[in-house]
Amino acid sequence: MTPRRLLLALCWAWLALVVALPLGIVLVLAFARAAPGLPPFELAFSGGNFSLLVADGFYLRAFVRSLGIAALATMLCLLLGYPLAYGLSRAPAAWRGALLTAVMLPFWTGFLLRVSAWIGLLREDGWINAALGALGVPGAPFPLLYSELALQLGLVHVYLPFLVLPLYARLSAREVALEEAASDLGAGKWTVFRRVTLPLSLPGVAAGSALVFIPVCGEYVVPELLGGPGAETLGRVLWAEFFANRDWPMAAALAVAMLFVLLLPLALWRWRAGREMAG
Amino acid sequence: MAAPVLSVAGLEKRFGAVTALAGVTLDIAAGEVFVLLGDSGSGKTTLLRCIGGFERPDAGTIHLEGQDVTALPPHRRAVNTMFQGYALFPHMDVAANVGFGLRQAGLGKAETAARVAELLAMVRLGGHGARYPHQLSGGQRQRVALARALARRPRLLLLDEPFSALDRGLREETRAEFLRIQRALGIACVMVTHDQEEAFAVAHRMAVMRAGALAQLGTPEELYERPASRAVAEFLGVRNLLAGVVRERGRGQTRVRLAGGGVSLLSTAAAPLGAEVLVALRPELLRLDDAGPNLLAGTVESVSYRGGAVDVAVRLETAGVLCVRHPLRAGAAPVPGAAVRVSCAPDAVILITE
Repeated sequence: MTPRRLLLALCWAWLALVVALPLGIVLVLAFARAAPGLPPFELAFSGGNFSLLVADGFYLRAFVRSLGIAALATMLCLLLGYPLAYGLSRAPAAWRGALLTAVMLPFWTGFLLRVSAWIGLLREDGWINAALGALGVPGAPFPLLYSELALQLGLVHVYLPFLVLPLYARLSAREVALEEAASDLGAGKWTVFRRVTLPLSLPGVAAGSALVFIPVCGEYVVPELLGGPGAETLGRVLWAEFFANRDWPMAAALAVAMLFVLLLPLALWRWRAGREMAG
Repeated sequence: MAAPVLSVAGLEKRFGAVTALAGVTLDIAAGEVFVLLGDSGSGKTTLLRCIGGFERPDAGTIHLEGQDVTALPPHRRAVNTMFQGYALFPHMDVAANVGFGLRQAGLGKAETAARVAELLAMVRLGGHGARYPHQLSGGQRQRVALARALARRPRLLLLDEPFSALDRGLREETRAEFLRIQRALGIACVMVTHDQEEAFAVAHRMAVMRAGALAQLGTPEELYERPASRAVAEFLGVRNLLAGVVRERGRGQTRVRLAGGGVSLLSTAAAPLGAEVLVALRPELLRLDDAGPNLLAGTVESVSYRGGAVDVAVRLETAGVLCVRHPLRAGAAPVPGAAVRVSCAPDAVILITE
C-alpha cells in the first residue's frame, strides 16, 4: 500500500468508526421498539416512533421551540459578531493577533464553568441584582435567571466565537481593490459596504450562522441550566426520553429527525451551489 | 496650450521611512495619453493612487480642471480608474458592473440600461450584459473594466497596468482597441506601466519614474533618442552604452573619444568640451559595413535570430560589446568569430551627459 492510500484508509476507518457506526446504531435504534429490560429495547422495523413524533404535538412544539431559539441566537450572534469580525479584519495588523486571541479566550475556560458563571450573575441574589438593588432600582431584584433572556445570554456567549472566526476569515480575505473600485465609481462608505463588502462576505455569514444554528438546535446544557421551564428544547426532550423515560428508540428517532431537518436544507444548498459552479 | 485637465504640483508621499513620491509636478493636457513608466517601487502607482484619491499626499496639490481635489475622497472626483487586475465585482453581472457608477450618480434604471448597452457596444461586448465576470475571458474582462471606468464620463481616466494581465498576442489588439476608444472620446488618460514597449506604443507623452521622481518627461521619441541619464536609457531599453570624453566640438558636430582605446566617434548631438559622456548607439541604426566616419572594429561573439533580422553581438577591440541589428535582406549573417566593422551615422550617436 502506498503512503497516500494508507492515509486515506486511515481517514475512512476513522470516519467509519466515529461517524458511520454510531449513526448506524442510532438509525437501527430509531426503528426499534421500547421494551422493559436491559437494554431497554427490542430490535424491530417499525415506524411507530416517527408517526408518534408527528402525531404528538409535544415533540412538534419542541422542534419549533428549538428552531426558534436557535434562529434568535443566530440572529443575535450575527448582530454582535458581524461588527466584531469586521472590526477585527480592519484592525491594524499588529493588533490583530491579540484581538483574535481575545475572541478565542473564552474557549480556554470550561464550557460548563462559563454557563454556571451566568447563574451566579443572574440569580436573584446574584451580582447583577445586587448591583441593581444597591443602585436603588425600583423592582429589584428581578427574576433574571431561568428566562428567555438568560437562555439567549448564555447561548450568545458560548457560540459567538463560532460565528466570528469564519466570518473574520472571509472578511480579511476580501479584495481591497473591489472596495476601492466601488468608491472610485461614486459610492460612499456605506454604499461600498452595502453593495460590495456585505454581499461578498455572505459565504462567511452562512458558514458562521450554520456553526451557531446547528449546534444550538440540539443544545442541552444551556437551556437546562439557564432556560426557563418553557425552554423545552429538543436537547432536553431527547435527554428526558433517554434518561428519564428510558425510551431509547424514541430518543433515537428524535435525533434522526433532527439530523434530517438540519441536514436537508444544507444538502439542498450545497447541491444548488454545486450546480451553479458547474453552470 | 489650453488649461490642463490635471495639474499635479510638488506631490510628496512617504510610507513610514520609505519615500514613495519626492515632489512630483506634472500637467496633463486634454485628450492626452500620458504614460508613467517605472520599476515597481518607483512611485508610479502611488502617484496614480494619489490622483485617484486612494492616497492622501503628505504635501503638494492636485487640481482637476482648476478645482483643488487634493483632499477629496475618490467618490467625489471626476476621475475613474481602471484597476490592475480589473477589480470587477464578482457578484454582479457585466451590466451591473458597468452600470454601478451610473446608479451611484442617480441615474434611473431605464437610463442606466440604455447607457450600459451603449458602453458595451463601444467595447464590442454587446449582448454580454448578463454574464458574470468569471464567465468571461481575460480580454473581455479588460473591456468590461474599461467600459465601467468610462461610464461616468470622467474628465480623466487612470489606468494601472491595463494590459499586463493579457497574453502577448491579445495585448496589441487590446491596445489598439483602447486607443480607438480613447481617440473617439478624446479623454485624457494617465497610464502606469513597467513595460517600455507598451509605453512607446500608446503614449503621447511619457515620464520615466525613479525613486519617487520624474527622471525624464517628454514624447516617446524625445526620451528614446535623447535619454537624459544612464538610468533612463537603460530603463528604456537603450542598449550599447559606451563611456567617452568630449574632445572637440563645433559646427553642429561633437567628437567623443571612447574610453579604453584610441577610437573616437562623431556625433551631431551637443555636449560641453571635456565632459564625460555616455555614448548610446541604437542597435537598429548600426550597420556591419565600412561606410561613414564612425567605424568600430571588433569580433562577432554571438548571433541570435529575431524574425527577419539577427542581433549580432560584437566585442569591440577597444572595450565593451555592441549589439547590432542586422537585417537579413542586407546580406547573410556573419558567423561567430568573424572580424567585422561596425559603422553608424553621426546623427545616430546619442550623447548622454549626466
